[in-house]
Amino acid sequence: MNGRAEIPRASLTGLYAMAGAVTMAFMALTSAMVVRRTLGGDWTGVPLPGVVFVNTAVIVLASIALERGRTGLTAVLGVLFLGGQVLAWREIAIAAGPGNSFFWVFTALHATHVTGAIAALGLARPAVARIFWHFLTVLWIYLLLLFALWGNR
Amino acid sequence: MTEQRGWLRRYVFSTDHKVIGIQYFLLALFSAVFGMLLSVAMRLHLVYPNARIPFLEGGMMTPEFYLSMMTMHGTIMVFFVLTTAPQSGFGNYMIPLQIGAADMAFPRLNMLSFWTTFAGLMVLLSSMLARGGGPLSGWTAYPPLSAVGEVAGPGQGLGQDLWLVSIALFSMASLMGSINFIATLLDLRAPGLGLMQLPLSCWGWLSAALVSLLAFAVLIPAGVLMLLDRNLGTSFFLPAGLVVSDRILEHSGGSPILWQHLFWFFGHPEVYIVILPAMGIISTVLATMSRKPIFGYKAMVYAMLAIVVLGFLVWGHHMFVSGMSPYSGIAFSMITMAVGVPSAIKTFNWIGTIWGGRLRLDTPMLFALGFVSLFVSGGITGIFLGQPSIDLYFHDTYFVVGHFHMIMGVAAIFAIFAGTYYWFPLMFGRFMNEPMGKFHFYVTFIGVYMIFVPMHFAGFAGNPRRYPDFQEFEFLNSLRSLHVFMTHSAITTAAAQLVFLVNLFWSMRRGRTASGNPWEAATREWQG
Repeated sequence: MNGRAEIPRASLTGLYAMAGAVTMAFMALTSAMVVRRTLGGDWTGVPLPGVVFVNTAVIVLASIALERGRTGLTAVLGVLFLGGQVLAWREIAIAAGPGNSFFWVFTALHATHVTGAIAALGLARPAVARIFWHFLTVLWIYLLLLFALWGNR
Repeated sequence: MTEQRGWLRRYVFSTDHKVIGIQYFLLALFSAVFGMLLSVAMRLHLVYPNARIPFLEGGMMTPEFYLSMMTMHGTIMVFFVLTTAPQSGFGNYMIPLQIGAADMAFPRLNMLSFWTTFAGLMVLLSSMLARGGGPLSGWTAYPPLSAVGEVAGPGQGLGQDLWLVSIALFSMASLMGSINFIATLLDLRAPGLGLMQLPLSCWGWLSAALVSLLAFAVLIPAGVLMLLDRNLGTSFFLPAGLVVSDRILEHSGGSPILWQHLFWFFGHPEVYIVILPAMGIISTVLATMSRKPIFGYKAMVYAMLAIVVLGFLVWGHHMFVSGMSPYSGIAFSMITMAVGVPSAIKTFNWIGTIWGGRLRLDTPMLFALGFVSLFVSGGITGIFLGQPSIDLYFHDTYFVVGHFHMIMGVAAIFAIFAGTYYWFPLMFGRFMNEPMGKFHFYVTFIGVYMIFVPMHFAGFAGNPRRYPDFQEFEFLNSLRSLHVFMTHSAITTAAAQLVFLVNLFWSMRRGRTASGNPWEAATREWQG
């Protein structure tokens, strides 16, 4: 069930390649945000809804649960995270300001991948699903820091 | 086991790398024929802009219709032909054979990747029939007009949305393909087959997969931002106070230049996704047909890897006239010149490979030599365009059109032809017809020079690209005879491709039977 030893090397390479592409996509959006903020002259920060901090706790717990071998609990927490994100989106109008727009794009793209990660719990090799899940947790923490420290101003 | 599977699983929804390779090849072949017919129609319109065309609305070709054909030509050729055939087509078929693997690393992902590409092509073709006209923003889709929607006029409504969806589908398929290529080439090689013993064709597919993985990952979010600007009222690429069709639009603070950066961060590496597998195929063909090992193998590998890295640092040379700081311009210019170094290493090593060899001047070899010729001719004009001061004049003229058609368009097509004639005996156990092949080569080789060299002259004369009717401008009237010449050359060259099509399908059934290793190649795919 657990253990990197039994996973074929190609699956791991494929997973890392995918993580590389996802990272690249988020870096592209980050640089777009930097440019948009600097050039636009109309930057407004996005008021971060409180629920995203709850969501952060939920996705970190999901990662921990997966590490403990509680796959079912991870799936439930994953769905809970997506539900929490929907609550956050309801507080933010996408076109009300550039900060809002970027918040939407970043979080929606992340949520798309979380949906995939929940599916991967049932479909992919356990070790692959595990690494992918942790990768998305780290990616979420990056997004939280980006918006809590910079995007909200 | 495969015998028990139905026809559908074996030939349509197949997970077999050979079937998928051929599916990609046929998809690219269909796209190439369609894209070529569009280019002939465009060439005809350029010299006979007032011709009566009965089946078109109004009986004449409108400027919008011309632009939508141009957009379709560029998009189809760049994505569904040049990115598809050398990489996904030949790569899928040959990689497992050349590295001694049973199949690609992820066969089901491979099937998904092909069918996503297919869906992308269908969406693109359907966009031509969209209400309000087909997309007409070109393959680069520059905002603001591409990002404001229907208000910008014909083709900017549903057509442009479908174009973006098609590109997103194609990009996702490319990401899946790249992941598969990288995992296969890194982890599924036969025991003892080191990376530095791979045929250069495998290095071409590996390096192109690396570029593709990182470049398409940027195009997808860029396309998403544009879809949001178009449909949900965001302002990523749209500035304040924009007046389109006498209406002030409610956007603010966005920048059309931001799209150019994101697009070209993908768009320049894209040309290397096209040319790297082409270089690999050509290296393999040249070595075999010269009956010599490739000259300077290590340098060839390092040159490819240098192109991978440098390819991501030169996107700004597409934007010299965007108001970029001259200091950035010089930096981009110098890195662009630096790409010339690995390119020259490859060219000299190709010459070193054929030097003193016992050449076999059969059709695959002729197309390989033609590739080297086109790569040099098209590459040299890149040195011109890489200078910001010279590009100021040449930007958006036919000089650029001539340049990129030679180096990435036709050169890559020649690699596809070389690969087809070369690997045909492996794929079908028969040769393609040699006299027909030679005729095809000579007409095409001379033909493409006759089409694209004059374009450079038109560029010198200041002829802007994308104009549906250059004769409306007095200063361009003297270029009419040049354009007539290019149009006649294009029709002749296009007609010669019919010989290739006939040869391809005729030889599958009737070609001269080939032995197991007819070219006496040293690579593994022939040793079965």
